Amino acid sequence: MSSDKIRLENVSFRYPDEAGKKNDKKDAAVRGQIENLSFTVKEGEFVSIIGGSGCGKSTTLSLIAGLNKPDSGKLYIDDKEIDGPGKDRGVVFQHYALFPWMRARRNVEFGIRQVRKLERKELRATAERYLDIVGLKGEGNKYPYQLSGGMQQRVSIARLLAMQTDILLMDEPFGAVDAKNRVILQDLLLRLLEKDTEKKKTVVFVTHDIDEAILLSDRILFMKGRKIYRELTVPLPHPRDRELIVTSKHYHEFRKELFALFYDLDGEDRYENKNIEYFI
Amino acid sequence: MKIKISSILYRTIPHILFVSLLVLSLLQVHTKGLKPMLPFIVLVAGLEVLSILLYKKWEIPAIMDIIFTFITAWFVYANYLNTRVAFLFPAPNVVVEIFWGDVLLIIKSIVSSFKLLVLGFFIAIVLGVGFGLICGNVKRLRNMLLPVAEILSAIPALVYAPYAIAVLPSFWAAGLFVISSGLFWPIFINTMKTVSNLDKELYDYTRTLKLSKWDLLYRVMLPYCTPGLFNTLTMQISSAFMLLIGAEMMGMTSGVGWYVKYYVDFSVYKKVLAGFITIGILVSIVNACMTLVKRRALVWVDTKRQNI
Ligand SMILES: Nc1ncnc2c1ncn2[C@@H]1O[C@H](COP(=O)(O)OP(=O)(O)OP(=O)(O)O)[C@@H](O)[C@H]1O
Ligand SMILES: [Mg+2]
Repeated sequence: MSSDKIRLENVSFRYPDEAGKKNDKKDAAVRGQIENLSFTVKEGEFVSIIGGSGCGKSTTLSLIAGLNKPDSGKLYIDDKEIDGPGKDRGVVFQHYALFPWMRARRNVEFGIRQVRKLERKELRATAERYLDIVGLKGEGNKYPYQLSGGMQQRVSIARLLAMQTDILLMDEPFGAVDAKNRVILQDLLLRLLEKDTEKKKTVVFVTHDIDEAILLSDRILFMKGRKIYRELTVPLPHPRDRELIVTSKHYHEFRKELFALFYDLDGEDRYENKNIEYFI
Repeated sequence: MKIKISSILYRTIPHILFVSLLVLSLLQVHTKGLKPMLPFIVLVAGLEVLSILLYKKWEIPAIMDIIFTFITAWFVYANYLNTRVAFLFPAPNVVVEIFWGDVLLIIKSIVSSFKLLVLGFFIAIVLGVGFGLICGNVKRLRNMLLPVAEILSAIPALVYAPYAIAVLPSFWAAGLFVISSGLFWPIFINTMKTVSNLDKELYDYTRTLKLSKWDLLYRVMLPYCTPGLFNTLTMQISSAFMLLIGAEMMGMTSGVGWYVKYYVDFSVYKKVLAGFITIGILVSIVNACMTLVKRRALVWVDTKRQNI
């Protein structure tokens, strides 16, 4: 028995082609979207996945969510093999996945209703509270099309948080949120996860934003070419504070290292490039 | 200055037409007596009052222009120019007189047709959406039924009306069958296609919730299909009228189609014309109901992005 909450062992996965077939072996030139992926996430750990566009981050998340089955290899949660989706895992989708025919509040309520039986009044109050948390007080009566992209994304975050699942799988959850609300939401997530009163939540978080990854995560998985290219532990203590961490020496070294990785995707040592030096 | 004059002229056209119609009617009263002309005068006056009351709403006067011009032209042609074959081309005052005398029968016909149409729609929607949801979810069924459905939907339902009349216990039941089966196929096909194209992320989200099959069908797929359903209904509404009128003409004993057919058989063309207008009234009622229901059901659709 290990303390791993989530464990992936040599997972490979390929999307079926247009004809709906997984044409394996026959043409070996076609590689899968994920190959021999292995990593673990401990209970209560916050792990970020970063990497270039199309490197398989969303796909990895979908495998953990149980939405796709691996072609080979195994995925475990609490040492039990994943068998399809489960209510222990909440997902924020990259494109929000709100029900367009439900008002914002109803969208949140609908999520809650699937995991807990609440009375009408309480259900409504809970939904309102979570909408309030993500800064959408008073917007609960709007339909998704009446909300901006960032607001829709916040509804889908409220919906996830309201479901109070042990595991949070978040696919660029702040991607469309404006700078101000992004800061608010990052702080909210930090506070929410650092509270050690309840059972701690395990988070797998996909992002493009390196600073966001550093601020939030315990560990960062850097994906490249269908697998984990580097695994980095964030050398910063909890509780985190965005103003305090920038004064830490570790922070700058770590950030430099990450940026170097991020901009070295093609193997060229672009880190030496003056422009990037300037950028860092 | 020029614009002003033309706009004043534009606004006064319907009133000028109204006054001239009134004068023409009074001339007719002089020759025919007041009684046959009274319904027509009341109607024209009523339209004028309506246009004045609703004058703020831009479209109403515009419609009045058309209506008054049409009535005037018809009135003048039928009463003064076409006096020899009057029975083939009755004057508007005669037709209005028919309405006056037949008002109960006409209302009864409209109600009967409306009931039949609504019931036909209801059955087609319940069955079309119901089976569409189920078949859209089962790939095997979908692949099997889609080609069949596409062939069957292309056959006009009136073709199998005689068969329906032979098999079913009453003309009314046969009419209902023809209407609902004509509407069923397009609704069925549309629902089936929409369901099988459910947004991937939305579907994945429902999977993470472990929604029951019933909740998935009723709370997710059903609302997901409604915009498409209303599009189909709007497109099918004219063919639905064709089926309705056709079915009623084929042997039923009530409804607007029957009304027209009945008097065509007796060559009472003034009543036939009244029937045409009645059909127009029915179409307007049905369209208005449709718009009302649609507006309520699709408040969540962004009409700027999606053309509903
Ligand atoms: N439904 C699908 N069918 C076939 N191929 C897919 C599908 N979804 C993704 N892919 C392919 O799988 C690869 C990984 O996609 P994935 O969505 O996991 O990327 P990502 O890392 O999340 O990228 P992004 O940062 O742009 O969201 C891509 O090359 C993409 O072309
Ligand atoms: Mg992605």
